[in-house]
Amino acid sequence: MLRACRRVLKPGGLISFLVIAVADGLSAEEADRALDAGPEHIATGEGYPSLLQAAGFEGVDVVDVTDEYLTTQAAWVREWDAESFELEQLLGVEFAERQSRRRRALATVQAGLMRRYLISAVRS
Amino acid sequence: MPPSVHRRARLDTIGGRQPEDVTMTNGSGDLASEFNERYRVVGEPAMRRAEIRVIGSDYGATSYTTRAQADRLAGLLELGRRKLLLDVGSGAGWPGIYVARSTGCRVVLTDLPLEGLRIASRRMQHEGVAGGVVAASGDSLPLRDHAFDAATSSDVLC
Repeated sequence: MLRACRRVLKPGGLISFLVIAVADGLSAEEADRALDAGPEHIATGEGYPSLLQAAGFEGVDVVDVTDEYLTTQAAWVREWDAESFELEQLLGVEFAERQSRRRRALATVQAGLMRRYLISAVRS
Repeated sequence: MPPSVHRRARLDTIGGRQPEDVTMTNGSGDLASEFNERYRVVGEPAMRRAEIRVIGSDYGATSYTTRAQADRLAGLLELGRRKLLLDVGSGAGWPGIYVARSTGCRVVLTDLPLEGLRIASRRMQHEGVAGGVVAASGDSLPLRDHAFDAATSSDVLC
């Protein structure tokens, strides 16, 4: 995907994206727990700076936005609970499944197993 | 008639391939099907209220990108009029359409679930945002080389 983005960007074009990733330095068991609890698109922990450089980007900047992610994930759980009467009617069993998945993801972030980053770079 | 997912007239200026190539990548996978089903309830009042309270969006998003982060992305990407933005894995248009509207840039949204792109296309028309939507995988973009000033995605890359 990064190489595809580089191809369609003008030289000097900018890329900036948010990504959820497994935290560095985890045991295999912890990494599995993070991957299992994470959202559909969770990175597998490879270093994004090296991935971007290999894809033809430079000036990589990585900002950890995990605290904001934690707040947002907790807010989704809280606000869906607040709307549970209507959402259960709307979604059926999917409501409980999605809330359960959010709660597991929240616990995983709180345990330091999953992080979210804002990453920016320039197309070389 | 619902708006076309692939808006050929505008996209011909940035894409070098034929629309037939695009429709072949229209999300036949399980994940695309699952997300198509999720878009069925976009716009329902309870979904909308929760979305507004959590991330400040009313685009039918269930992501973690807040309005403040969308504004931050717009600044980092130095967007403005005459700029063209690519949003990969755009869903129903958050934050790509919002960023385009707030900065005046044009935007091309790409994703696999067609239902999300239909919602996004209608929203773009409603808000008067220039650009288009393309049903395509992020690693096989049917778009012309060197066409974009900036690219973004939210929780898609892996």
